[in-house]
Amino acid sequence: MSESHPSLPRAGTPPLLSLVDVTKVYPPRLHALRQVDLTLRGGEIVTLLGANGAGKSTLAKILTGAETPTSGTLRWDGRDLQIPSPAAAKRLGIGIVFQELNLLPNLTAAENVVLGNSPGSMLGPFSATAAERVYKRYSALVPDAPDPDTVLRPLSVGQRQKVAIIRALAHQPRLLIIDEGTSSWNLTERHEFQEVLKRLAHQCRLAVLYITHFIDDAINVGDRVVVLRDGAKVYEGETGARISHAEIIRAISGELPVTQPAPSTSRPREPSASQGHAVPVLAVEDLATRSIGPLRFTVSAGECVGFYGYPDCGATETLEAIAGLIPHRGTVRWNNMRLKQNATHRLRHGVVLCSGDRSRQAISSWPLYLNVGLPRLFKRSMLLPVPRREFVRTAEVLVRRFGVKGDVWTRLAALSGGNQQKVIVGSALGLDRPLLILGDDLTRGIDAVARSEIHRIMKTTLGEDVAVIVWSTDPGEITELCSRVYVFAQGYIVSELAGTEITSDSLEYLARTRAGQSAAA
Amino acid sequence: MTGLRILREAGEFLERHGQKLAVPGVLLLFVAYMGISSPVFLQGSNLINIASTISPITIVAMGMALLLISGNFDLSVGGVGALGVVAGSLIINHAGTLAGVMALLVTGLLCGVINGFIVTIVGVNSLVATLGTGYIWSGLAYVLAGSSPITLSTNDLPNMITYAPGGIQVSVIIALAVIAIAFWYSRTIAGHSLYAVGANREAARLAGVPVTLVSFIPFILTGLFAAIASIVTIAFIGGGVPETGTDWPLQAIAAAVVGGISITGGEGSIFAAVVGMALIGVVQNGLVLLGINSNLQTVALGIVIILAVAADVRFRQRFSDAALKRAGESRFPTLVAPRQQPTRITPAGGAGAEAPAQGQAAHRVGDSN
Repeated sequence: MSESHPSLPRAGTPPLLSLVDVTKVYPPRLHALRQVDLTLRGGEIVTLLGANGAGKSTLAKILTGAETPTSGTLRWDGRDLQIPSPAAAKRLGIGIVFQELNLLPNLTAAENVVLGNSPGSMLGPFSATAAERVYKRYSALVPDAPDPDTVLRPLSVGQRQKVAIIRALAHQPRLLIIDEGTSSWNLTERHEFQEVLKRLAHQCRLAVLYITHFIDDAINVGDRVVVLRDGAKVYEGETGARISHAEIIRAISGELPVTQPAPSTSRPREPSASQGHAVPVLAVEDLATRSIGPLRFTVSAGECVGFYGYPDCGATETLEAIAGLIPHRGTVRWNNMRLKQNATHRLRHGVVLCSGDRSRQAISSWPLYLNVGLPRLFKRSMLLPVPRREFVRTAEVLVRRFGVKGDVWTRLAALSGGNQQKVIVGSALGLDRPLLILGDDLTRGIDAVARSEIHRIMKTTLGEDVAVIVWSTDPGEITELCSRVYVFAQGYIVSELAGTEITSDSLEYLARTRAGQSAAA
Repeated sequence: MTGLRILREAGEFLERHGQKLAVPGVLLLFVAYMGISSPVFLQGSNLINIASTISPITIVAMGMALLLISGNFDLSVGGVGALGVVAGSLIINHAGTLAGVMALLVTGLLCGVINGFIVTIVGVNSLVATLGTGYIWSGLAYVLAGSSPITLSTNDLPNMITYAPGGIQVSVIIALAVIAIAFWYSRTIAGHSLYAVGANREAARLAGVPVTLVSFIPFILTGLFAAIASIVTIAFIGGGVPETGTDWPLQAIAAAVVGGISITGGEGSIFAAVVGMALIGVVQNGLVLLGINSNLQTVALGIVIILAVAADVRFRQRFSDAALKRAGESRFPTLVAPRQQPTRITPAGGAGAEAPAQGQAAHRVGDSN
């Protein structure tokens, strides 16, 4: 079918880890993995692609001892064994960076990195300098890593991901699993890190399982690409061989014909139509918090406005201020009404924040239908009983419309990250009109198929009564969805683009140069 | 057919709710054991005795349960009890029973409002805040009482509370009413949001739940319920001593936790707290009936609390494991889609090494179907 590639550590290298026939079932009836075989070798990077709920994260959890397979065997260094706990995985030398980071926000970057891996003895005094030494040794491998004594709490997701990767490297793993661990980085950072990873893998005989949604990244960094669909391995190919995007997309999506995302021609409406005589429904004046502004901007009815910038550019704070979640100066007018500084009040008037940070947006121990009901609870008097039946009906509609894998009774934690995100976005979209949706890095960690589904639904929702602000670090998302863009840097709006001015290149250029300028000033 | 359906539905009910049945099971076992070993235990008069003995703590535990679900504590219920019985008795003696009862309820409400204010608005951790206010209330009780206990000058209140229409004391009826109120509250939107706030405060806030208000209300209810409990206590002892209520906070928390309410919030139910309270009451009564040394009874109670919670933890674990196993045996074979054959473009060497395993896998799927 294809020719082999001479430089790759293939058949000759004994596998470090093989999975044979691994199946995982979540009760009552969610088949997360179906008889998956996978081989990982030292010095080789395998990238794993798949739609939401295809089983990528489950596979990672099994390899790190967070979950045990329902059936099937794991072979490590030629021996059959089980990985009963994360501690066992760590002893074997398996390191992981999860999509949902498990770092302690109250500690510094260096403390997080040495946690459970302290340079001294367990009963000895904690040495901050030793911790910093360890941190610096490994942070040199990661582009623009935060300083060792930075407390994590105020850091962006992207910065935290760097700390998580440094921590995994500091454990000197033999197998490193990166589960969407770089999804919030910009393109340059991702490429830079991927080069580092390639070098590390080949020099230290490190086996890497790199789980991602970005097909380009998968091909760029991986020696081998594996695709899961519905829990089964449906594709495996070497990147040295001729590998086509279309083939991988077909494998990810099944029979579904999927158009590649991000052609800028599919913009919802031409700027002239939305800008010329449209009435602004959202008017923000002199909006300022401790770290942003003052900002002034408007959004018209039926318009989808983009916020673009690097992580920490202030766009997230702006959205949270509009949603009333953090105190701010200045005024926010929505449909000619000045909104009070109160999240519940703003939500009742249709100002909804959807965040890509799922731990903030949903209660993972609750079933799906109660999560759908959560933002709907306070639409009626609080002494009335909970309308569970209505929530179940709403959730059933949502599950069908978005193709969520799982039924309304499934605990949210049992769904894959992407499916959770569909539930979160979907439950906001179905709320009352008029509606202002504030999308905060909405499609972080979501695969191309689900992402275009969410984009499609957001576009169809746009109408006379609905306005959307989308903040994204992905220029592709902005060019596809938005007819007007505010570029953010250092807490200010540094530029406004409309219509054909919006291209990935112009966005990237403005964000980078303006960020540099403000930093210098 | 219908028999089978009933069986299957019973099975499904067990699967959904089975993990909540450990503590009720322990309670039933203990009741059965006591029923066999002591002829007195299952007599109506003894059961009513148990119910009336635990009624004050049950009332307190209802408020505590709502608070725990929202992720907070109230250690000041004992202080409210002490202040309540002392001030209540004094006011009853000086201004009459009705005025005393009203004043007491207002005091409880006020204490709750102060706790709620310090915790939800000022932002002090509830454990610390209510530890402090608890000292203040019970200190005030000592100040008011002076050195001597206060004895009621009229017997109106004791007569009213211990009046037993149809053999059931008014104190028990009051406890049942409080249980009903707490149960109703837990089923409202406000009560449901307690679970949201307890499980993930930030998510609740983002979803527009008025977190401050929602966490404030259980403090008021707990203060009010502690005041009601002190009314019952005044009636039981015919007056007030400032030592009252010292063990209320921990007993109420014990009842809630034994019943299965999570100490970290977000989980549990009013029903669970009632079952936990009943277990503690039955054990205390049973140990007396069995003639166990009264000093050892406290030790035994501690052991029972730990055993009940341990049983609950293990049972839940076992239950989810069992469910996992059953699902693994594909009880729902129609939902197992046949495995897709991988599209392979690996070179001959790699494919050769892995191909046999693939083949076996495909056969196994075929066999099981």
